[in-house]
Amino acid sequence: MANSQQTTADKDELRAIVARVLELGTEEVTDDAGFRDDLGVDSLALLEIATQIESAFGVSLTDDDISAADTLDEIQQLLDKARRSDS
Amino acid sequence: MTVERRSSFEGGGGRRAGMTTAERSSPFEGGGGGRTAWITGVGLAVDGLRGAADLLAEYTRHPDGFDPRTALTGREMRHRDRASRLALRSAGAALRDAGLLSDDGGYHGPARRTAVVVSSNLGNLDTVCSFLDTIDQETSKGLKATGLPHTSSNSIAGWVAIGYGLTGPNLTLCNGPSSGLDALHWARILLVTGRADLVLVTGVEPDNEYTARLLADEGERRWPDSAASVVVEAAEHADSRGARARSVLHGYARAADVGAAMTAAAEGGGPLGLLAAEHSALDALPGAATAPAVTDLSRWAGRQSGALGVLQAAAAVAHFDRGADGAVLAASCRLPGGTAAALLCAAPTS
Amino acid sequence: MTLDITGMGAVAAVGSTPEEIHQRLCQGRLGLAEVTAFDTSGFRQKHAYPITDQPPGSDVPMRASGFLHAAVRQALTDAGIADRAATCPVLVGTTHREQRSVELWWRGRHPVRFPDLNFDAGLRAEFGFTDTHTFANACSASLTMLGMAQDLIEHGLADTVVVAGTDVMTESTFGAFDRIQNVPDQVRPFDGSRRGMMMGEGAVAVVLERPGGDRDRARARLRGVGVNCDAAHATAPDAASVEAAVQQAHQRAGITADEVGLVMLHGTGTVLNDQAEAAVLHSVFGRVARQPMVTGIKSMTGHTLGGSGLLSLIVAAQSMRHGLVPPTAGLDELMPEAEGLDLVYGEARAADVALAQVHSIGMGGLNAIAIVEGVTS
Repeated sequence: MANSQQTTADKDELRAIVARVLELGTEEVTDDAGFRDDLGVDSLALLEIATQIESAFGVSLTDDDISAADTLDEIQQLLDKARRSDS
Repeated sequence: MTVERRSSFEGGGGRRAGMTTAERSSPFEGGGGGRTAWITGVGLAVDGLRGAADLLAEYTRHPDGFDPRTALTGREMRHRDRASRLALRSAGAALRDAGLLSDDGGYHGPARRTAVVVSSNLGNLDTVCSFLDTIDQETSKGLKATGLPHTSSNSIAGWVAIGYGLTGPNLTLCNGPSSGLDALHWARILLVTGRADLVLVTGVEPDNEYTARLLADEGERRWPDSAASVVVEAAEHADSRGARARSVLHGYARAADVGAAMTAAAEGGGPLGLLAAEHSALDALPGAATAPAVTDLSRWAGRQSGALGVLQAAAAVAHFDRGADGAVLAASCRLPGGTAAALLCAAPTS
Repeated sequence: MTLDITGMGAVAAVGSTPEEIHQRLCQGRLGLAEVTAFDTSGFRQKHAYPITDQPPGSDVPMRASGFLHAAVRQALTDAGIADRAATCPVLVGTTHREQRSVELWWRGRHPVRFPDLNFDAGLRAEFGFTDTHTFANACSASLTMLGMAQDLIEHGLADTVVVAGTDVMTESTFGAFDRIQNVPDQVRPFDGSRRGMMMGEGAVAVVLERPGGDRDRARARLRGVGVNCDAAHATAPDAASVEAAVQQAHQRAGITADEVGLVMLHGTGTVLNDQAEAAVLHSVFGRVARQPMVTGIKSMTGHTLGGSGLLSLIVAAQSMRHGLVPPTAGLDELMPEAEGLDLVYGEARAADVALAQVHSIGMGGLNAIAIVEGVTS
C-alpha cells in the first residue's frame, strides 16, 4: 500500500477506535477535535483508547505520551513514533 | 409561575427548647429541629410510565411512556452504567419539576448546600458480574478502564453530582427493602442538622440479565427499569424562592415489624387517604374510621427494590397533586430477619 | 458539640484489636501477602493486604459481615454498653458491602439471599439492632458516617450511635485496578516511585456518645467532620474541594490549622491522590508556626476501603494515647511535592499530640475529614 493510503487507513482505524470508546459517531471525531474540551475525554477513557490502539496496532505507548495527546492528529503522531521505535 | 406561600402546618412546628431524652418521643414528630422538609419536585424514569400520576393506577407500559431503549443514549450518558443513566433522567426531571434548572439545563440552586442521596440495592450488579466474566475470558486486560467507577455502588450518586455540579454531602444507601424510605429519612436529617438546604433523593434499580437472575433465584419476577427522584427542601428555603410544597415529610420509623413502623410513623399525622404498601399491611394498621385506598407498587417494582420507597413518595405527591384527601403512609416490605420502615407524607396544606 | 468515643474495635491484616494494630504499625509490620482467596492467574497483580482467615483457594461468603460483627463486638464491650446497645442506630460505611458474596454466587460457588446483601439482618441476629443503615460511600464511607452520627447526637435525634466500616476484596475491583495500574509492589504513600493502590481487608467500629455521664471512658473525643463532594471526576480527586472539606472540618471543630498536631493521610499511593493531598496540606498548613506530623497507614494495612478513614482515626487515637506515631512504610524517596511536610517515616516517632486530622478522599469525589482530640490514659 502507498504511504498516504496507509496513513489514511491508519487514521480511519484510529478514528473508529476513539469513536467506539467515546460512544460517538466517527463524524464527531474530527482530526483536530480536542479530546478534553470538545469530546469530553477523561483519564480513564484515554487509558482505554491507548490500550485498544496498542492491541490493534501491536505497539506500546508510554503513559506520558498518552496523557499528552489531545487530538486524533496527535494520536496518529504517537502511533508513528511508537512504530519507529519498535522497528 | 404563581408564588404560593405555604405557612407552617401540622408537623411543621419547631422543636421545644430544653427537651430531655425522656420527653422526646418520635424525633420527627413536629418536624424536629425546627426545619420542615417539603417535597418540591418529583421526576420518574420508569419503563412505560409517563409521570407520577401513573403510579396511582395499575402498572402499564404506555406507548408514550418512558422508553429505556431510546431514552438512555446521548453524549451526556457516556461511560455511565445503566443505573446511573436512569438516575440522571429521573433526577433531571425532578430538578426541572422543582423549578431548579435553567433553560440550558444547568442547576441554578445553591450547589454547596445541595446534597445527593441515592438508594439502590442492585445498581452495580451488572458491572460486578460482567467483570468476572471478562476476567475469566480475557484476563483483566479485557476490562474497560471506564468501568472502574461502577465497581463501587456510589458511582450513581457521583454521576448525579457531576451532572448537576452538586457539591453538598453525597450519600448512597444500599439498605435492603427499606432503603428508599431510609433515603428520604436521611434527606430530612441532612436538612434538620443543617448540612444542606436541598436534597436530591433518587431511588433506582436497573433491569438487566444479572438482576433478573438474582431475582429469579429469589423466586421474584424481573423488575422494570425504575428510577424515581424527589427534591426534598427546607421549607424556608423553598419559600424564599417561591417554590410550593407538593407534600410534607411528617413521620418516619423503623421497627422489627411493619405494623409497629407504620403506627409510629403515622402518629399525629391525621387521617390517612392512601396506603402505599403491600395489601397485607392494611391489617397491621390501627383501627381507622375508613380504611385508606391501597396502592402496592412492590407488585411490579419489586419488594427488594431500592427505588420502591422513593416511588412511594412520588405516588404521594401525585395523590396530593390531584387534590385527594388524607395523608399518605408508605411502608416497605419486610424480609425474613430484617426490619421494616414507614414514612408518612402529609398534605401540602394544613 | 464535642462527643466522646467510648468504645473502639478493629480487625485488619496487621492485627485483630486497636491496641494490636497500633503496636504492629509502630513496629512497621506490613500486612502485605499473596492473594490466596481467589485464582490470580487472570491478573498481573498477585498481592494485596488480605486477612488470611481461609485455607488457600477457598473463599466463603459473608466475610465482610463477619469482620463487621467482630469489630462491633469489640467496640460495644470496650464502651460497656453490650447489654443496652440494641436501641442504638448503627451506621455502617462500606465500599463493597457483600459484593464478594455476590461474586461467589455468580461463579456458582455459593448461593446468596437478598437479606445477605446489606448488614441489617446480620446485625439484628448478632446484636438485636433494629435501626441499621448500610451506606456504600466508597473510601470516605466510615468518616462520613461518623459525621452523620455526630449530627444525630448534636440535634437530639440519638444519644448513642454505633459507627462502623467494613470491606473485603472483590475480584471485580481487583481486576479494575489491575487494568489501570502497573502492578504496585506495595502501597507507598508519598513516595516518588509510587505505582498505585492495593486493597486491604478489615472492619472497624466506634461507639459515639454524648460527653459526660458517670463513666469517664472516652478513648478519644470527636470535634467535627467536614463532608462534601467534588462533583468533578468519577475517580480523580479535586484538591480545592478536598481543601474545602478540611476547612469545613476546622470550622465545625472550632479550631485553627495551627492546633493540628498530626495528620493521618488518606495516602493511597496513587499518583493523583498523593499529589492532590500534598497540595491540600501545603495550602492548609502553609503558614503555621510548626508543621503537623504527617503519616499514612495504608502502607501497612493496605487500602481497607469503606472502613479506612475510621481505622486511621482509631490509630490516631491510639497514637495520642500512647504518645507514639507509626511511620509511613514503603517511603524510600519522598516525592518532590512533599517537600516541607513533616512526614513520619523510617521509624515510629514519640510525640505528644493533642489533636489529629484524619483524611478520607473517596473515589467519586466524596470527601470526609475528621478532627479528633486525644485522651491520654
